[in-house]
Amino acid sequence: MLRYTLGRLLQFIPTLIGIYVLTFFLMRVLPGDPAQFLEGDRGSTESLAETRARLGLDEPLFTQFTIFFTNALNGDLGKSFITQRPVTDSISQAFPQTAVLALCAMLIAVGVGIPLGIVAAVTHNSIWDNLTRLIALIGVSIPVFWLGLQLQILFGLQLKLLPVSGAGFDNHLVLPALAASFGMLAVLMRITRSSLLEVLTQDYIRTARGKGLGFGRISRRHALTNALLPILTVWGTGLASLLSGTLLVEVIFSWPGMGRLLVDAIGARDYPSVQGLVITFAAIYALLNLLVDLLYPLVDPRIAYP
Amino acid sequence: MSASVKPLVTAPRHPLTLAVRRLLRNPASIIGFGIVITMLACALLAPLIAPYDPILGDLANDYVKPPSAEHVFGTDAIGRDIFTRVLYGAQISLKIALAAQAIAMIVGVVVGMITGYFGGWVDLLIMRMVDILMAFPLLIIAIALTGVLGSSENNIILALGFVNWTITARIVRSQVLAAKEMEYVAAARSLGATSLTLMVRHIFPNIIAPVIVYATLGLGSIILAEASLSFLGLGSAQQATPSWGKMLTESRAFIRSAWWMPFYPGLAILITVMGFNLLGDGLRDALDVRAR
Repeated sequence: MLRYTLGRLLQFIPTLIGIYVLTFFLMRVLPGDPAQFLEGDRGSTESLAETRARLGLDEPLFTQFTIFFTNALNGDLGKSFITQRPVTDSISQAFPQTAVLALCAMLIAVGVGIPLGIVAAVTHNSIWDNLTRLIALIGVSIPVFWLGLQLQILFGLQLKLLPVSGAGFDNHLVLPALAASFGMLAVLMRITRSSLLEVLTQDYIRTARGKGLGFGRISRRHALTNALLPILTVWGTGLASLLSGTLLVEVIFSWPGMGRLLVDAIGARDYPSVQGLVITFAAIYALLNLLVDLLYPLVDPRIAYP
Repeated sequence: MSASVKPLVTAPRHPLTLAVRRLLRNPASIIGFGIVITMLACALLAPLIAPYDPILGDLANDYVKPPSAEHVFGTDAIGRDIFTRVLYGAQISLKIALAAQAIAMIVGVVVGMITGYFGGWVDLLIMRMVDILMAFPLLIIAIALTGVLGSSENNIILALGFVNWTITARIVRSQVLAAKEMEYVAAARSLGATSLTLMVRHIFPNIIAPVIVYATLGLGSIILAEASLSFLGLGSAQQATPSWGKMLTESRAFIRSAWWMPFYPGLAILITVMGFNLLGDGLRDALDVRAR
């Protein structure tokens, strides 16, 4: 397992380098001048050139790349063009905010989605089962930022139950986490239902029933453990949509996480911040994928680490 | 036995006829089909059926009015009719989604066919690139791309096309890999068909079903992505363009006083995406495409 994990971690390196190179050249080849953005319309030709020199943008493209890339290898992602703070600082400040929000959203999705899916499978073809189909369809079709806005209007402004926006690991978390969780919740609910339904028709379930086990025990011990594998797969892919969803939710709820940082940085042509954030997102995403793959053998002993 | 029993032997039907029949037997896909057709009609006929002008508002009389008989969806901050703007918004959303998906499909099909058919180092190199691209939340790439390309309709189409071709390429590649081993390919080859003929005339028609299914399902997610981009202010740069996502951004300042301003554009997105998802699911069943 250690060997496998190390191998996978090594595979990240070309992926991360690829993404770094891609974002670097895309940001520079395409139009948009950060110096112009900093100076506004007042900037004269000389002061623009000065700003460019200060930001290191007057060097040839390849020299720029070598400088940025060597620094990045040493863990220095440069300084923000706008705030002059090291990018690593602002990222490490925003990271816990995003992590807590995403974690809460995931817990809601798992804690609500899987039980609802089980109920739907057990009450197959009932009104409840059909209702979960509708919820699932809405879950994959709803724009997450619109859901966020509607939650703000309903619970924040009309019912005045919860804060409309702002940060804080208290009741400020409820609405953003709910909004971010819904898509994954819907998908998890559907896959739990369908994989449980499939397992329930298997011979060993009939055997368990034949030897007189109660329904509750059969569902928990025999059916659910065998239905977990597809649920895990979907959970893994769902993490990606959760991450993008969190990004939009952060903008809606003025949540000071990495998503909002990224959106602001792109608007300001803040190259080092954009690059640092994109690389961080890629690394987190790759690590989450690895985590999911490491969980497979735990869920199903028939799968061994390659 | 009633007299209406039909003889067992009937003329073999075209697979397309059978697929359409299966599609129309499923109420969910009929609803999806209906939604998609309605939205397309709204987009195409917007200039004819919209009651007001989408860009010029009546600031004097209709400033932020709740839904009423004259303005069924209410009016916005500068007195423009929201119903009209939602209709015109369908034009923009569908145009961008269809164009982006067309780019993604063309690139994806070509790349998928070449890599799947020829294999070798081309396959290895391109699929490695696809892996890198897919090892990443696509929305973030799209945001970064439109952010740097600059906000215009064409750039959004390019960005969304660019992030979506990988999915098509993977599906097509796996289908081609399977189709290559089929007997009809061997038969055509032994009759002297060239690689190009094999790919275009023989393999492509046989793998088109999953491509159609995933393209339909993909349209829903492209519409969501487009709405997200314009919501983040990365949409079309033209100030007056009534895109759904942009209407939502503009309405954010009014959520305390005018619930209808963010409500209807978002509802339009939700219903349209639901339509494509229902239709895609229906097509998957009708064309008998198994999940990957």
